[in-house]
Amino acid sequence: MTTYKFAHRYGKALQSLLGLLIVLVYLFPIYWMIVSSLKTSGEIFSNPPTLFPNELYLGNYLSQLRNSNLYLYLKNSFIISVCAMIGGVLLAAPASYALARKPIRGIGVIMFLVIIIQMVPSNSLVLPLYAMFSKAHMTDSYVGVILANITGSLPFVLLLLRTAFLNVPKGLEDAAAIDGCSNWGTFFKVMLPLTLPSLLTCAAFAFIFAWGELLYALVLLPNQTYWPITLGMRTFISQYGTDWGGLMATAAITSAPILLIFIFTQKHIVGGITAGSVKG
Amino acid sequence: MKEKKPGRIALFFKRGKWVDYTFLLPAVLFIAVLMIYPIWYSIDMGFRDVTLKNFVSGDQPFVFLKNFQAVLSDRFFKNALGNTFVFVFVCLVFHFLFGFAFALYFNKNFKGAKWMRALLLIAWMNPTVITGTIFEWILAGDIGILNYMLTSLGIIPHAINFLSSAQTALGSIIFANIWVGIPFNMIILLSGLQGIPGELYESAVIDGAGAWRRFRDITWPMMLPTISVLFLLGFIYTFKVFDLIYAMTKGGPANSSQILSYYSYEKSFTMFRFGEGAAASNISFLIIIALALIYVHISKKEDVAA
Repeated sequence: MTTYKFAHRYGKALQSLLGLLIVLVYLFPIYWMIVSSLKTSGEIFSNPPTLFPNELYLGNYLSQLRNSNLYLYLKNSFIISVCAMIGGVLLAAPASYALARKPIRGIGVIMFLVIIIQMVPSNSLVLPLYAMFSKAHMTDSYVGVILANITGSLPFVLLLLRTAFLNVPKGLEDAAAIDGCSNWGTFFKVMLPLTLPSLLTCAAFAFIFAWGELLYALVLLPNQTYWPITLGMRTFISQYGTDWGGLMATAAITSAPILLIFIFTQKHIVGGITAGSVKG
Repeated sequence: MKEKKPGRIALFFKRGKWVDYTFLLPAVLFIAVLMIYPIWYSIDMGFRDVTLKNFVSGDQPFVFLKNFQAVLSDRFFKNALGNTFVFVFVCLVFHFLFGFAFALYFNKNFKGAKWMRALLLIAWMNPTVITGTIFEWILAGDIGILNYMLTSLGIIPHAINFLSSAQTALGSIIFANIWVGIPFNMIILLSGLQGIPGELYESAVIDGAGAWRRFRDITWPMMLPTISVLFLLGFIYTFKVFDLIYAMTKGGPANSSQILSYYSYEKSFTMFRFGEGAAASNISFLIIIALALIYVHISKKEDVAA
């Protein structure tokens, strides 16, 4: 019995160890980005390459931070992502509430359309959006690219939030109605606070999506003054030739908000991915 | 659920039912104007001769199937189509194999399993352009770490310019995309695994079934619906990969790593043949819609309650 327990206990520890090893090997590219960004240009070219930097060199970051374009791109990314996030959630929340709780006619058709439209790739939408926005003089503006970004997250957020509203106990709305809350009043005062965790998850998703988006920015924003960091960071390549240290520092700066948001919301995000994409 | 219907329209306003629809209105309007109308716009554009001159204003003559003929007879389109299917097929196979292996492993009940599998998702969440840039660095011809490892292990005699050689460019993008997609597959498969009732395994153990038999007779058949949905979703997601190609090869060298999504982008936005670009993107769109319809069909069957 004791030998069994012994084997069991160390078996578990061994499993954890192997798991950790898998994670480390698998996430090597992320590690390599960070480590490369902390190496001097001499060390980056050293053969054999060093798995850990000789000294933590911050020069790559400092020189990137002296680049005024970096601030411009980061600012643009923040404006676009925050607006797309707010816009997406504001549009989706009442609609998904109605789809979950109201006796809407044609609800089957709407749900079907939302699921189908979720699959439509940005590659298919970018050309017509570019044509429409060109005619409306909305290229080279935040508005156009923000709207385009919302198309990317809205269907997903709709589906995710609908599940959240479906899970709120029915009686609460009736109680609110008896207390004299109007339809929209119930929504704002009762339903939204109850689904706050899901709302935040959706907001995180919408932000992450917009922050990483490239194609819409590439097509809809010919003018550099509006470029987000995903587009702008690519210019650092031709600008510096192969300054891999600097490039990896920019890559790390660009990834940082995503990694931070992810760390704080990972529990919800893992659930959200399955709820949003498989169950529909 | 039976309702009496005296004067539907009157009731609609009297009982305040119209208020219900005000919740839907903003999102429905948005989807109609910025998603459904553009799809229509794109279909229409595919049948018209649209160039830089008449793009914003002016007559766009209706040419019916001319754009489609031009695209379908373009050898670069055929090349891109072939690459797309190689790309999608290889990615899906490896996504699934690694995703399933990871899911089975991290479904075990050991310390840290939960946060480890969450950590793996970083690969999937990270902006794809950034991932492309990281792989550009890892695969770099002279000083990339992969070349260093492969040459010092004696697997290849000398460094390869992975991204600038026509033999390896598509493979490199496939490599990067496999890396990106594994955690997503893992998460979906994990949710499937967790949906299998534990009693099934318990009674199988009592019956003396070994690990392999438990996998073959319980895990695999129970997972099939999830797996089929996953392959469909995976196809759609892989089919539309753009950012990695933009970051790593721009479709080159000599179009060797071009897939349909990049082909239609180039037609429209570097050659400015918008009509043909629209036709090409409509062909991709058709393929995706067909798969999306199958997806809805399957997932409806799978859980009727949702």
